[in-house]
Amino acid sequence: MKKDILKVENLTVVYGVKDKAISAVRDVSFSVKKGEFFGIAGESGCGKSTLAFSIIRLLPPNAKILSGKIVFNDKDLLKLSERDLREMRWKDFSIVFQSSMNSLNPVMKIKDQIYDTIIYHSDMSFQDLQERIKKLFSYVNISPKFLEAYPHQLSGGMKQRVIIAMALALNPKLVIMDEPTTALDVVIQRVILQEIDELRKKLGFSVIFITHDLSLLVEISDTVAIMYAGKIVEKSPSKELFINPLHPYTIGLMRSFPTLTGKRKRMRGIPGHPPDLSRKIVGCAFFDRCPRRIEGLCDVKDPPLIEISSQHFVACHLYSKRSL
Amino acid sequence: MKWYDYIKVFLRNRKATVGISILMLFTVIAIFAPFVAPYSPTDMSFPPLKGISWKHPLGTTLSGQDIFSQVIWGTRYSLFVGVVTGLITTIISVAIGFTAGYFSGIIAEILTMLINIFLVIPGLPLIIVISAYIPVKNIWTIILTISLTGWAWGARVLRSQVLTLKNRDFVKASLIVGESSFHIIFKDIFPNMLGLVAASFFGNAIYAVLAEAGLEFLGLGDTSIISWGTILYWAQNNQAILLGSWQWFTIPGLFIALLGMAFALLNFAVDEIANPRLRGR
Amino acid sequence: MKERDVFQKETVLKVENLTKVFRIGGIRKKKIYAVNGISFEINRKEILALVGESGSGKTTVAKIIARLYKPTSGKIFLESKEIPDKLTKKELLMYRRSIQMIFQDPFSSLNPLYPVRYAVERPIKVHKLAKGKEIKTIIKKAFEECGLIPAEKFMDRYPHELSGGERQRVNIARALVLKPKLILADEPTSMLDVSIRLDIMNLMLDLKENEGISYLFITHDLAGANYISDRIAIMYSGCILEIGPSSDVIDDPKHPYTQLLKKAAPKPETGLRPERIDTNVDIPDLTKPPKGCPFAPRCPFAQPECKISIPEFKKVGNDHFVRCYIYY
Repeated sequence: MKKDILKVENLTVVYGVKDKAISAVRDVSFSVKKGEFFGIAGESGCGKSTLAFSIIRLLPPNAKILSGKIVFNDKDLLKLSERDLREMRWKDFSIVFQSSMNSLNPVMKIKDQIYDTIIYHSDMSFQDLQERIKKLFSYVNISPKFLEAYPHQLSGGMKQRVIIAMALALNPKLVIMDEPTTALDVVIQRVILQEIDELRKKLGFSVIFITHDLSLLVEISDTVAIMYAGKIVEKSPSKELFINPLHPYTIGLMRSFPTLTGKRKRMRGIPGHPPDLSRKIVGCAFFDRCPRRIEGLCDVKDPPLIEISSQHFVACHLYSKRSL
Repeated sequence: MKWYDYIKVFLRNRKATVGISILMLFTVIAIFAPFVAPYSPTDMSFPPLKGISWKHPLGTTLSGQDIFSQVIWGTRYSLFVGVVTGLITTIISVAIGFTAGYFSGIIAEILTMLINIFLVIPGLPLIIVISAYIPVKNIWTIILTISLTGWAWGARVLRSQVLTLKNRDFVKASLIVGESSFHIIFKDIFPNMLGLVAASFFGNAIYAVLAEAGLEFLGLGDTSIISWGTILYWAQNNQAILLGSWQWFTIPGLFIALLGMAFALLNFAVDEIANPRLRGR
Repeated sequence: MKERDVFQKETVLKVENLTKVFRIGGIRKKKIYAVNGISFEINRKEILALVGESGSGKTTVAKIIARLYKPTSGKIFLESKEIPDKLTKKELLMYRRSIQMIFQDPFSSLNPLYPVRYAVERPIKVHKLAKGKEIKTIIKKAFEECGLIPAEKFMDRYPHELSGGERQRVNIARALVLKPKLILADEPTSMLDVSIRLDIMNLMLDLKENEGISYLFITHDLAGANYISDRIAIMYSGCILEIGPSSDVIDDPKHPYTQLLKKAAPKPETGLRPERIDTNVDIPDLTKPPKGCPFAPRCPFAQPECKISIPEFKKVGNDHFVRCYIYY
């Protein structure tokens, strides 16, 4: 059994105060093993980005972690000081955002930005650093001549690969990616994902990949967790999830992706929209939109996340009798 | 949000309430000057260079005029010039900035160049030079001089805003629906710029107040009238500091600063309301 | 059924050799060849998807048809009548009644200072479709036909008070109220949540059937295009490389670029083993005038002739055409 590189337990995060508080993440628990590709799928407002920011401890000032534990390599991140966290960032874990390519300084050469970031977080010699950067660029298929270029001379896809190279520069054990390829074209997206996969096999890091594109996620992940209204409603190995989705939201979400193969037929999305997270949610958050809801149960009691079959967890009253 | 909702938000903003309070105080003083001031400002019958006393709260000038009454009456002039000049400057800024931003083609290019030229020319020296050569000096020449030199900054800002708004999807949608240019300019774009125009007005008003005071102080304005600026002029000319009459120039200076501050606060308040991200948490 | 279709095939829109060259930069000396000779037809009650990645020129094509840009050259025919470059006010208004547009960002398509009914009211007023109380009736009907039921619940709300899907429905209602012959839909679902996209696309399909509206559906999502459209045109660097019935183009893509797009797209239903793509990812340089096939630098089957000139359309199936020397 591979070791857990990250273990999140009962994490709850809110924005704002008192009656204006929005519960973005509600009692979330999951773990990522060494070398695992862990996918988190969900739509806007489900809390996935807040979750990512919580793990690396870079939440905005009006967000508060109310409870829970985030254990990285046996260290509880919530108990560490900012200084210790800074030591760990980039070296032990790193993050790639959706708009990362826009966070490159337009008036600095690429190489200077990479050196700046890495030198701040490590004590490599300049020589070793240069070698490492050249190696990383070869990993992501960018010619080293682009080190001398400015960000506007690179395409969106190239900029994002520079960011990925930077995220891997110090050989972190975990890389969190929040919609890293959503703004890119489908071909570039596929190429970048191939590169990440090869790198993962070579360097052995784990990935948490956050996106709304569930059909992409099941193709590239080992494990997939589905988030809705701040909670994980289903979690399972990707193949199992695709063949046998259990939660009505997962089923609805999977059905929302038109296919490129097979018969053409009318499909339906999920009517309605996610609940207002500033109000207290009683019972299951998906109740209003669920085609299989049980009145009197689902709107009263919030179903816990329980294991139904090997490694397949679901939070739904329809399956509560089948728990292992 | 209806228009009265905006007024409610405005009044809840602390900067706005302070700014409005100061402004209203000055307005009241200006309107009721004859009743607030104990004497006529030009009355030279008092003993000259008296210090602070109950009879003369701010003392008297070298010519025996009551400074307190002068400051009270001066409020009218300074406030009037500040507001009216601010208004005229804003109107010019809006007209030129808007046209330069909304229309494309040769007119817009010329106007943009005009804005840039006026931005580059230093404002205060230009005012001074123009004022020095105007044969007739009255309140309206001063107002016009200041307006014609200070409109460029607002025009540039408004032009940028129009350019941005012009490219917003709802403007394109209006075009595709078939709306006339008139409708698009006045009903689609302009209402989305009101915040900026209001902020621009307050900015121009500050500039006007300070420019007028500056002109009068240098003796380039109409020295026969009573305004805070002219009080400073006479104070400076008559060596108020040397003669120990500190209140002669500090108090009018303070009032100028206060009025400027009131406009500045209102400027910030309007900015904050127009752009929710600037609001304090 | 087939015979009837052939006879009833009326062309709503035809574009012929549309090109657009943008001039940017200080003295207007830098050129961008955004659209290079685009031709296609859209028939009544038909949805043509224009599929391409960013920079392919697909949005520019729509904006030219919507008369937001002037074409550098080329012709546009509305119901077989050529539309000249200059139109009188009245002619322009007639044109606008026939061709409407929906944009990608549902929020910025609505003026934030007015309630959403304003957006649907304006076309009625501008085109003088009704007066007085009748206006409200038409607005109500449009809202409800677009799924905003009951209309009263939504009509007086402001854009920021509605969800993304609801806003897009308002935008569709605005386009719908003029009863246009063609709606240009520029990536109408890419900024919406996944679970809502299908319902918006289904709405557009329903309106096609019930109101007889054709669509030019612009997207980068091949699967979405496959779902909603009758025909697909694949665009790359300002050129259409393949065009044909959706089922043919998707099930049996002929052009190497179409094949690449299909390979790269997620297809979990095929077994969760995505095919490996080997391609250089050079993006085309739009500042150079087009020479030869724009896909040649990346094409695994490129021949010397591909770099010299781009071939004309060759018929490879029933109504299915490709621009590729492989099929010559």
